Amino acid sequence: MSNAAKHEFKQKQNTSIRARLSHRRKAILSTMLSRWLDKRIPPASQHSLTLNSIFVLPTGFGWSFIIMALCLFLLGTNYQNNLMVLLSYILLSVMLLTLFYTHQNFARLAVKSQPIAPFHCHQTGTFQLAVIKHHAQQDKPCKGNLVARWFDTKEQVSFILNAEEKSQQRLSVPIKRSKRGKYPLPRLTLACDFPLGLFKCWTHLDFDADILVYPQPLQDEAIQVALPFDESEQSKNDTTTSSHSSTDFHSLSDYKAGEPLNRVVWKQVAKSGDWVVKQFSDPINEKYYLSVDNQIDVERAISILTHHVIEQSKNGNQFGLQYRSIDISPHYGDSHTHQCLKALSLLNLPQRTYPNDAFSAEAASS
Amino acid sequence: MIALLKPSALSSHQPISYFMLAIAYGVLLLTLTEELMIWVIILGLCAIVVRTVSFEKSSHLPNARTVNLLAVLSLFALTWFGFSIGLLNSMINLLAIAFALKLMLLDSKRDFHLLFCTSLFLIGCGFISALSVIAWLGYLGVLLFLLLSLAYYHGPVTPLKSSAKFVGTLVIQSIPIAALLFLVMPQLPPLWQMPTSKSQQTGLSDTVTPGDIASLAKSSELAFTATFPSASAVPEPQQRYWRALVMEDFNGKTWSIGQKRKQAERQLATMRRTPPLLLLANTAENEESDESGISETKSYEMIVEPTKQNWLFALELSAPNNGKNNITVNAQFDYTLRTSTPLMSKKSFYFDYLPNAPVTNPVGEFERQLNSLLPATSNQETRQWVSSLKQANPTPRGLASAIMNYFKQQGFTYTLEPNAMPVDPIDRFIFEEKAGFCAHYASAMTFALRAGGVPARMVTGYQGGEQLDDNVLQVRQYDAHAWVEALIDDTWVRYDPTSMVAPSRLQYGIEQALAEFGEKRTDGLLGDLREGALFTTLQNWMRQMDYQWSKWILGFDANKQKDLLEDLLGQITTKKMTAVFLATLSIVGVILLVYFFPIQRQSTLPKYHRIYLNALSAIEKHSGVERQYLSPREYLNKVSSHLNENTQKILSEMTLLFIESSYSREGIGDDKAKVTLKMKHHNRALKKSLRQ
Amino acid sequence: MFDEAGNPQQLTLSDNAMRLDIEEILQALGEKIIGKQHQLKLALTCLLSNGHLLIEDLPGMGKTTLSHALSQVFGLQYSRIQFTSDLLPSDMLGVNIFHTGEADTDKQFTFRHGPIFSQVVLADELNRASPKTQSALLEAMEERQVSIDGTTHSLPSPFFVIATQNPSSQSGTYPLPESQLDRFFMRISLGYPEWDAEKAMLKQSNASTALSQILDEGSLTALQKSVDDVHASDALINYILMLVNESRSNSAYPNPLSPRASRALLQGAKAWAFISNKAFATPDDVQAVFTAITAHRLTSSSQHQGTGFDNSTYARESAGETLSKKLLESIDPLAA
Repeated sequence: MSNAAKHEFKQKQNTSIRARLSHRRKAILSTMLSRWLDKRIPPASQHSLTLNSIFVLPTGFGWSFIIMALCLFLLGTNYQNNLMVLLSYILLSVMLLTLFYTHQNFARLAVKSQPIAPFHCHQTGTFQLAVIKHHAQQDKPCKGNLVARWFDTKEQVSFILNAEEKSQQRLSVPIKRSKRGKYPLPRLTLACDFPLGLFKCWTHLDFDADILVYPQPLQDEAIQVALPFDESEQSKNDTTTSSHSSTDFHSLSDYKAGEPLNRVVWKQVAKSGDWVVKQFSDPINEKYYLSVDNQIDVERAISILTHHVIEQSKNGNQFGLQYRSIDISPHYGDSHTHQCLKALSLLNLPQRTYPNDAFSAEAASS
Repeated sequence: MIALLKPSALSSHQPISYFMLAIAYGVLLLTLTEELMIWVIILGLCAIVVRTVSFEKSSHLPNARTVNLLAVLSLFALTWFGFSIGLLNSMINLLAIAFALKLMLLDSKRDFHLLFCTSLFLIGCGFISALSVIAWLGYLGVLLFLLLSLAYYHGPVTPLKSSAKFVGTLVIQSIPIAALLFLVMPQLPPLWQMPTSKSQQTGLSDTVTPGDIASLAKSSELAFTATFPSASAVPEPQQRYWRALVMEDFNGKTWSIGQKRKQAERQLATMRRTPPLLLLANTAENEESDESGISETKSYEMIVEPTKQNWLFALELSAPNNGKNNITVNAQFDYTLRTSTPLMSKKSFYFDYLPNAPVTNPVGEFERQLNSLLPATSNQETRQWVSSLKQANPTPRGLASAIMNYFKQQGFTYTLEPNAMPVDPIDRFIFEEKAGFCAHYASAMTFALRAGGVPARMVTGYQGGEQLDDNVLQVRQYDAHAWVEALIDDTWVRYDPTSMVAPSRLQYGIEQALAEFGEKRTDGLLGDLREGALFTTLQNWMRQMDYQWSKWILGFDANKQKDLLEDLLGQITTKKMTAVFLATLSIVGVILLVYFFPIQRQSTLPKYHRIYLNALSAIEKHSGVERQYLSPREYLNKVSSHLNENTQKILSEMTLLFIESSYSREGIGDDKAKVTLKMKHHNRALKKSLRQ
Repeated sequence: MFDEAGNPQQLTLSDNAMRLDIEEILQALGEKIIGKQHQLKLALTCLLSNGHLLIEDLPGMGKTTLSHALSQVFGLQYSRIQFTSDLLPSDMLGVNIFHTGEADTDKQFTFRHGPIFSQVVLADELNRASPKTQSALLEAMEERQVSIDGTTHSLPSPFFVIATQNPSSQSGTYPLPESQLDRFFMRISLGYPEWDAEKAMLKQSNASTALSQILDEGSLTALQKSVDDVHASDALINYILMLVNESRSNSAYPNPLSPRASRALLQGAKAWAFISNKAFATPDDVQAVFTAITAHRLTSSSQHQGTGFDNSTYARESAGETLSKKLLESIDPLAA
C-alpha cells in the first residue's frame, strides 16, 4: 500500500468514524428527548392538556408580526411620530395577550385514544382519537384547527374542531408501517394556532398503545397452501363444532312437530297464530389446514399465508394454520382470523434494536 | 353520537376573511390619498373589485401571468413618478401596489399573513399625515377589523359574532398594556435620517414672492400651539412675532434665502463657532441663576404641526432648550432655527424667551454686504424717491421712519387681493396700487432701505396668536406675516410697515384688520356659519381636545415622561428607573393575571372559613392524611390518631366552632368578628402545637 | 367520641321524648334484623322523610321482615302485595263492583278497596309485575291517591311503600325504568349478615314473635314534622347544589340528578340529623344518606339497554354505587 493510498484510507476511516459519531450523538439526543418527554408527559390512553404538557412558540407569521411592530417602532421614532409608536405598542401587547389566549385555548384540549385496529403493512391504518371534555375546563372546549403529526414523520393532517358540536368528535389520523410486527404507537404531535395564528401550541402525546401490523398479503397460485382437513380428526371435532353451527340466522320455516321450542318465534305466534321456527344456516362448507413448505423464504411464505387466511375467512371456511412454530386448529370467525394473522405478523420477528441498545452494542464492540 | 372529523386544510371562512381584508385595504387606500398617486388608488380599488367579484369562485381571478405583467407595468410607472414624489411616498406607493397585486392572487395562508402585515404597515404610514384623534380612532377601527378578519380566518367554525367579541376584548385588554409601555418605555430621539416627501411641505416656504403669504391667509389650519407656564408669561399681542426665516436675496420679484448665506452658515458650522443665539441663551441662563424666579416665566413649550421641513419658528428671540428637545434644534447666525430632521409629526419643542435681547451682527462685514445688494436695474422710480428721502433724512433711523410714515400717510390699504404687479412690482406698489398685503409692504420697505444704503432684510414668520387658554396661544396659517429688519449701529432693528397701514393687525389679528378695510378672510356661507355661537363652542371644544391630544399624546416625549415620573416618584435616579421598569413588568404581569385567572371563588368565603381551611391544610401537611372530600367531623375522626393530644384538642375545638358557625340555626349570628377572632386564636395555637 | 359532645344544641322536652322513641324503635328493629344498624337507620330516615323505599336484595335477606317490623313498630296498618306477572292493576288498587241487592237503592256500584289502601304497603318483587301494574303503583305512590273510573280515592296517610326487587337473573322480570326509579326516595340493600350477627340470629328463640307497637299513628306525623324543623344552613344547601350540579355538568354522569333528587337529599340529610339527635344538618348527614338516595338515580340507561335480561341489574346497581361514590368524592363540602 502506497503512502497516498494509506492516507486516503485513513481519511475515509476518519470520516466514517465522524459520521458514526454524529449518528451516535443524534441517537443519544433522541433518547434523551424521549426520556424527558416520558417524564414530562407520561404515557396514558387519555390526556387532558395542562401547563406542563404544552409547548408554545410564535409561528413564522408571529415572528413577522413582531418584526412589523418593531419596524413601526423604528419608523415612529425616526419620524418622532408617537401614534406609530403607540400602534407598535398595541401590536406588541396584542402579541403578548395572544400568547396567553393560544395557550389557554389549547389547555382546554382533552383527548382519548380509541382502540387501534390492526392493519396490513404498506396499507394505511387509522388511529382514532376522541375529543373529550377536559377535567378542569368543563364549560369551554378547545377551538380552532388541530394539526396532528406522528413524532417520527413529516406528514400532517389537520382537523377543524367544532365547539358547537354536541356529539363527540373523533379525529382519525392515518398511520403507516412498512414491516409487519408489533410496534409501540409513536408519540402524536398535536398543534393548534387558534385564535390568531400568531402562536403555535403543541404537545407530544404518548397514548400507551401498541399497533399490530399484519403482514402484506401476497397471491401466488403456484404454491400449494390449502390442505384438506384430515378426516379422522374431523370426526373427532365434529361434535364440538356442531354446537356452534346454529348461531347464524338463516330463514324462517313452518313448525314441524318435535322441533325445539326455543326456536319458535313467539312474536309471530302471538300476532298471527302461525307457528314459525327460525332456521339456522351451517356456515361450515369445507375445512382446511393452511401450510407452506418450510423451504420458501419466510417473509414470502408469511405473505402467502396471509393472503390465504384472508381468502378463507372471506369465504366463511373453517381453517387452521400450521407453519413453523404456529399451530392453530381449524375454526372460523373474526377473532380466529385475527388470531391467525397476529401469529403470522409476530412470527420470527428480528430482535428490534433501540437507539440506546445500538449504541451500547457498538460501544462494546469498539 | 359521534362526529368523525375528516382531515381538512381549508377553512370555510377563507373567502369572507379575504373579503374583509380587501375592505380594510380599501379604507386604507382612501385615507392615504395624500401619499398615494391616483393611479395606484385606482389599481387598488380594481383589485378589491376583482376580489369581490370572485367572492365565491376563485376561477374568476386573473391568472399569475396577467398579474405579473401588471406588476412590471406598475414598477415602470412607479420609477417614472418616483423622482417627483420622493423616496418615502415611493415606498408607500410600492407597498400599496404590491398589496393590490397580491390581493388578486391571494389564495394561501402565507399570502394572507403577508397581506395582513402589509396592512399593518400601511396603517402606520397613515399616521404620517393624519395625526388627529379622529384619525387615530379610525385607524384603530381598521386595526380591529383586520384583527377580526385574522381571527375569523383562524377560527374555521367560530361564528363571526364571537370572533368580533374576542377581538374587541383583545384590543381593549391590550390598550392598558400599550399605554403603560408608552408611559415607561424610553422616548428615543430619531435614530437616523429618514427620507421625507417633497410635495407635502406645508406652511411658509423658503422663498417669498409678495402675494404668497396672502394665499396662506386663506388657510385656517393650525401652525403651532405655544404653551406658557402661566397666563402672565404670555407676551402682549404686539410682541408676538414668531420669527422663522430670513430672506436676504432679492432678484427683483422674489425674496429668498441667499446662496451665500447658506454657504456661510455651513462654513461657520464647520468652524464650530457658536451662534450668537446660543451665546445669548448661555448668558441669559447665567443671569437667571443670579436672580432666580424670572427664569420660570421665560421658558415655554411649542407643539409644532408637521411641516416636513427643517426650519422652525419661535418668539423673537428665543433660544432652544436642547436639553429637553427630542429633536435637536440648531440656531443659525441669522438668528433663525433649524431642526436636525424634518418635522414629520407633531412634536413639542422647548424654548427660552429672551424678549429684550438684540439681534446683533455676528459676522461683521459679510452681513452688511449681503444685505445691501440690489438687482442692477429695476424699480427706478423707487430708487429716485428714496434718494430724495435720504437727503431729507440722512440717518438710517430717519430714513426708516420716513418710509414708515410714507406708508401711513399716503392712503395705503391692506388687502388680501391686490392686483397683479408683473413689471417693477415695487414701483407699481408704492406709487400706483397702494394696496397690498404684509409681504408687499415688507418687500417694498426692504428694497427702499437697501436703495437708501441701509442694509436690510425681510423676515417671515407668524405674528399674533389666538388664546386657547389663559396660557396657551394657537397660531394658524393665516397669521403668517413678513416684516423688515434693518442693520442700524450693528444691530438688526425690526420695522413692521404693515402696522403703519393696519395697526389692528398686530393688536387683534388679521380678521379684524381686514374687516376695517371691508374685506373678509374667507368668503361664502361657511364664513357666516363660523360666526354662529354653536359653531364657535363646538370649534372651541374641538380645539381644546386637539390641544390636549397634541400635548399629551403626540407631543409626549422624554421630557414629559421625565416630568411625569418625577411627579409620581420625586427625583429620578438610576435605582428608581430600574424599580420603575420592574414595576412595569409586574404590573403587566398583574394585568395578565387579572385577564386570564379570574378571582377564585374561595375569596367569597367568610374569614373564619378561610382560617379553618388554612388550619386544615396545615394539619394535612403535618399528618400526611389528606382530607379530600371528607366533612370536618369525619376528617377530625380520621386524623385524630395521627396527632398529639394538644393538637387534637385544638382541632376538635376549631371543628366544633366551624360546624356551629356554618351549619347551626343561629349560624355565625352577630358576633362575626368574635368567631373570626376565636378561629384566629385557635389557628395560632394549632400552628404552635404542630411545631412542637 | 365527638358526636355527643359536638352538639351544643339543647333539645326541647318533647324532642327528648321523641328521641327516646327513636332509640327504642331502632333497638326493637335491631332485634329483628341483626347487624344492619345502618340500613335500619336509612329505612327510618326514609320513613321520616315521607318517602318510599326500594330494597334490592336476593331472596331471604330479610326484606319482608324489615317492612313488617317497621309497620309493627309504628303501629301502622300493613298490607303486602306479592307481585306476579299476571297481577292486574285492579287487583292492587281495587274495583267497582255492582251490587245486586233487592232494593233499587242497593243496585249500584260500590268501590272495593284494593290492598294498596294501607299505610304501609310492601310491594314484594315489584319487578315481576307487568309494566302496566308497576306504573299503576308508582303513580299511586307519587300522587298519594288512586283514580278509578273517574273517581278519585285518597290513600291513607301516612302512606309508605316498601318495594322489593329481586336482582337475580330470573326470566320473566321487568326492570323498573329510571324515570320510575326516581320516585323512590332511596334504595338500600341489606346484604348478607356478618358472622356474629348471623350466629346471634340463629340462636334467637323468639324469631317469629311480633314486635310490640311503640308509637301510635299520630306520633309518626309529629316526628315527620320535627324533621322539617331541623335546620339546614345556606352552606349545607350550597353543598347539595354543588353535588347536584356536578352530576349535571360532568359527562361522566349519564343520568344527572333531578331537582327531586336534590330535595330528597336535603330532606334525607335533615331526617338523618334528627335520628342522630342533632338540631341542624351538616355535610356528614348528606354524606351518610348520599349513596342510598342517589345510586339508583345515577345509573345509566345505556348500561342495561338491549340486554333484555335482568342479569345486568347487579352490574347496574354496582355501577350506580360507583358513580354515586365518585360524585361524592369529587366535591369538597368545605368549598361551599
